[in-house]
Amino acid sequence: MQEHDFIVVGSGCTGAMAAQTLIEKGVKVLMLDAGEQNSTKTNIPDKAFADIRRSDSEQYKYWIGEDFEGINTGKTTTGAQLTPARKYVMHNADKFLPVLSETFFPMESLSYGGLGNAWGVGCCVFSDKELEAAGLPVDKMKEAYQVISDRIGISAEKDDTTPYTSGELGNIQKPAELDSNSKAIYEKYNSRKASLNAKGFYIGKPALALLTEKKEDREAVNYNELDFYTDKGSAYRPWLTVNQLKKKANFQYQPNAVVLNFSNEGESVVVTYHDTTSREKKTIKCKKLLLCASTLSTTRIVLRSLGDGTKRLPLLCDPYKYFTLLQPSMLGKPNNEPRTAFAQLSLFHDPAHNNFDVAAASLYSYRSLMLFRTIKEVPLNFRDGRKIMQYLLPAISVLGVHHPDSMTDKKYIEVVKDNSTITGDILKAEFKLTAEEQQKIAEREKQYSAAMRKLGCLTLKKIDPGFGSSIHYSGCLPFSEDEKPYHINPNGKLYGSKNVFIADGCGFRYLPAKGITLSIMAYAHLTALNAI
Amino acid sequence: MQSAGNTQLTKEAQVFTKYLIGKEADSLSVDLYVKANNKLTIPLTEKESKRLDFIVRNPSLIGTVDGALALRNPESGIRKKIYIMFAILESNPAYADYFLPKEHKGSYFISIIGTGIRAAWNALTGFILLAWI
Repeated sequence: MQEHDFIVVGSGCTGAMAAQTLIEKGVKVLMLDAGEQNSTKTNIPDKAFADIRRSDSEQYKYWIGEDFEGINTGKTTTGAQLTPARKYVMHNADKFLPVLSETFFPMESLSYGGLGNAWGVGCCVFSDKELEAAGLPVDKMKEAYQVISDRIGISAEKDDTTPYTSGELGNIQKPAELDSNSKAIYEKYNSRKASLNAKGFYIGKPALALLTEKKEDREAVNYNELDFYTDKGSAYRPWLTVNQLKKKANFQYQPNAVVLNFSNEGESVVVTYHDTTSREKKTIKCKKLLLCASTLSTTRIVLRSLGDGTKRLPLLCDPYKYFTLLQPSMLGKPNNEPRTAFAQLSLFHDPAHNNFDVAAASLYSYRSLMLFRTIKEVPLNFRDGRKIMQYLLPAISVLGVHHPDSMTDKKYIEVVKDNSTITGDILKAEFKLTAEEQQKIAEREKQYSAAMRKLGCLTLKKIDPGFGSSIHYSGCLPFSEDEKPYHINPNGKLYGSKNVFIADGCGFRYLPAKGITLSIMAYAHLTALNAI
Repeated sequence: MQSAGNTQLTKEAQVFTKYLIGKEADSLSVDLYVKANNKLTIPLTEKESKRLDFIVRNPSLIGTVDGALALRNPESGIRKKIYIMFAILESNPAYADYFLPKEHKGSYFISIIGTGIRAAWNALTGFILLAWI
């Protein structure tokens, strides 16, 4: 059997960054990936959202999908926010990554570029306290953040939220333009800053992995508002990196491979994967293995590989809710200026003013998500509801609120045998909040509503898409200085293995509410360096 | 020639379009509604089937039944069917003006209040009607 130098599992944000670091260091890398491609034939024209709405008779293919997959007749849950063009992100996940749970509904991906395809491109550096609590090396992470920022391109403003978003990052581009609703909120915040800051609220422009200026062969954002429907390269997606790596002589990409487990063979690692084309199990050997399959998938692989797989492991996931907001001052306004569909503003709640245990919210313009996505939440008949919502639409925004998460014995996963699945097992998950956690979240959400009222926005409805919907998962194989099974050495090496490294979010012992993506990419880079 | 099921779906598409925006449905919207129902298959209870049949025969009462269901049973099959038509119409450029935001004078707010009152009245009378059908 041929022995490869390094195998990287997964092509998502962490796989792409780990592989790039290894390639830049001159080592040979094989990336194993399920690599589900976007098979939607829909090619959205390069026009503004409003132009398409008024003229394109094919538009139903973009908004509701040729198979009507964009019409959700069920309850709002994880993945409901995906547009038809993004549904491929979850394709076949139920088949190869089955989950059994009454309380936890995660989103996982086998797509080329992984969950990075559904990323809202929000970037936040963790504070020193958050890094320490997560078990990450503070100084090295700060350096790694800069490396990743230079690779993916980040746009941000220096404002009150900088300590929570771009921090000390240099070489950042100017921020994206705000829509009129967010401009009005931002101006109001600046005039009422003192009282809001006293209550721990800080508001500013978000840091986004979105180019506002040309960078190499990637163009600046075109403000067509179709960012959740199509990729033009201005928003960072991991496949951009993998496409570049494919041009390198020391990089090989192998799709159709769902990795099942690994075993140690002397100094080498033997990896077993399911070939989705031939439907056979195959093995491949390497000197070092980097698992970047995303927290839940990586944990499945580890549980199958070490022991009998019956071990119960901790789980972290940021609780998440959407608030539908009404900004009465915007009623009757035309609301037709160009904009991005990404977060317009970031709102952090840091009552202790120490950049720890912070709740993080993002404010989105609602327009490009279409009325039909929200109308069924309105307790009115559809005819009158349409007329009222059409009037309210210019004044509607969506606030997505994330809460930080810590380990308790009420949140865990385990892999149990199930012969009805292709992999022969199923991930069982339990996610419940303690009474104290529930109370804290409820109190914080009240404070968010009160802060938004001060900023001229009324909360119309809070929508709870359930646990797992934040798509921020970690903590299953926590970092530990002591050698313990199912734990990771802070340098990324998995205890109980000789040459297996975990380069995604599995090790984080605490999950800040800020987006995890920039931090897992920085950590993947560090782990790749450690693995060499 | 259309199957009986598709004939019924075509009728539903026409009635729901008239109800939602006061216009005749174009052929694209009707085709999409039929396809969507065949693809998504919305299960209806016996009672819901009767109610659906009733409102298709009496289109002037759709708003009343819909309003009551919006409060009492928002996940009902009838609501889901009207919702499908809503999504299809919103995705059709011919009807964009019924969904895209518009500039309005402050006085338009009074019209919206009137619409809200009508919606509440519809829901109230709908509760009574639902007891009979």
